[in-house]
Amino acid sequence: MSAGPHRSRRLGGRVLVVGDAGSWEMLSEAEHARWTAGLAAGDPLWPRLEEKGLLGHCLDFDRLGTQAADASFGWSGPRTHVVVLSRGRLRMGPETARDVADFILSVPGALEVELEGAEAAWASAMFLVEYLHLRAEWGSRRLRVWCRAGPRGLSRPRTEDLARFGVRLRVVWRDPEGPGAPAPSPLARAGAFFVGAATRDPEGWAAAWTEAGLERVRIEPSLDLLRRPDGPRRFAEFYARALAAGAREERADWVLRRVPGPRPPEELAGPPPGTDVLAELAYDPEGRIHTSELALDVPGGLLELGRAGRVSYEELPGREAVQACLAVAQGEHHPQCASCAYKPFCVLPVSANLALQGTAWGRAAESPLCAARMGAFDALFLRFSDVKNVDEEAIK
Amino acid sequence: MAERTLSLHAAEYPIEALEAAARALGPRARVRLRRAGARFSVTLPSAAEGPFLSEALAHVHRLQLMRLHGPLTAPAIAWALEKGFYAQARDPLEEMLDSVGGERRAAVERLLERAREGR
Repeated sequence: MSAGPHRSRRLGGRVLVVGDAGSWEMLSEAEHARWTAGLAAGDPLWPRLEEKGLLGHCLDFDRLGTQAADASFGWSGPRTHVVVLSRGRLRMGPETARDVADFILSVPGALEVELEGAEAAWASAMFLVEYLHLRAEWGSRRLRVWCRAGPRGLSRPRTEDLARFGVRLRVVWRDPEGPGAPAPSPLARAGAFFVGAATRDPEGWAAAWTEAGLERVRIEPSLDLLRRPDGPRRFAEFYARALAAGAREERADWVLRRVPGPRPPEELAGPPPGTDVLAELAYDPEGRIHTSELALDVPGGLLELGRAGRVSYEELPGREAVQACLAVAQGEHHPQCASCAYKPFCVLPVSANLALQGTAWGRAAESPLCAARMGAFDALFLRFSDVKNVDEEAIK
Repeated sequence: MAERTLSLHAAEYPIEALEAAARALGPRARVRLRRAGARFSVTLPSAAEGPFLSEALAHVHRLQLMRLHGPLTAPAIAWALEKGFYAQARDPLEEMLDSVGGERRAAVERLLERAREGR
């Protein structure tokens, strides 16, 4: 039997084999050689690979079609909405906040709203929180609101304001150096950690996150780090060491939920976090909608989709930027991504391509984000393969 | 600034790829394209030659892949664009009962008023 057209990557003396929908298996070099040569029916590898659809005769196009449909057609809209309440001298007013909230609530499915720059526009932020809370209750919507804050946290009265509406705090570190615990807060549940050129001691940071009670942390490279020649390598090293030190990382959780398994299609993770339009939309203080948070920095309004209150969610597919984001998000459209082992788990977003390489398509071969992600995925899959029984509770 | 003129065969470098590469360089370099029979003559600053050809080749490869994989990806993109962006239905209770809608509008107006006052 043939091995079938699956993607593979050599990792730590072994070979990672990945199916089109994200099923994967780590093989030894000898097993990989047997697999590519064609397994005999009694080979002990047979049931292991058959179960995951990684044998040539398992190429069941109906099954692949269903998995693709679950992954693509099951999409009900972007889940993450980043509302930037203040930026430079701009502050979001309450009316604009209402228009933004109405737009967000017109997107179907479960929603996560992240408030950025809330402290400088607190009255509007609290209006947004309370309005979203009311509307979600009236419409029985699944909605979670996060408020971002630096490691110093929020004042006690503001923490109490947010607590009344079940808002959670995401602690954000940008280009930090050595480890430092954030100010204690009963609302702090998650972190966003942007690794910079001077960031060091991943083990110390992992311990600080645990100590602060953060359930999970999103570890990303800062754009400045990615612009340095050694940036991707430094990020990947930090990421691998933080994982090894027990950090619970959001993209790692997402990958586990993306792997097909015995779970209902609605529990399959949506598009990769941060993907323009498919996973994320962002709103600036003037109520303009952007394809993602990174798109806010793209000059010339290339990824701007109109103003909340004047454009409806249903009109978005008519926007050229949306069409471009959807086309670019298809790994099959990129020479390097099409054959990449990590294709089921990764999209290089248009906004990141524009920021780092100046074009919407980007060029994966030279993309520092691709290099950083490859390093992170390598660490992730090595770790997954070393954990014999992945705790299903951890996946959830 | 030193300029260089390249002669590229149209069969290897289609016009779409050359235009995409020129656009990718943006304001960094002025690129002049001229068709001369089966070839394109491309004049650009010498320093931009490498990035231009890299972009053009990447786009040639991308176009080939998109032609090859179009039958796989087109249905997903078409579905998303045609049917994927449906809006959440409005709350039927609010639609059916004026009193509910009225009460809710008043509640929102109170919230707005408080926010306008900065409280």
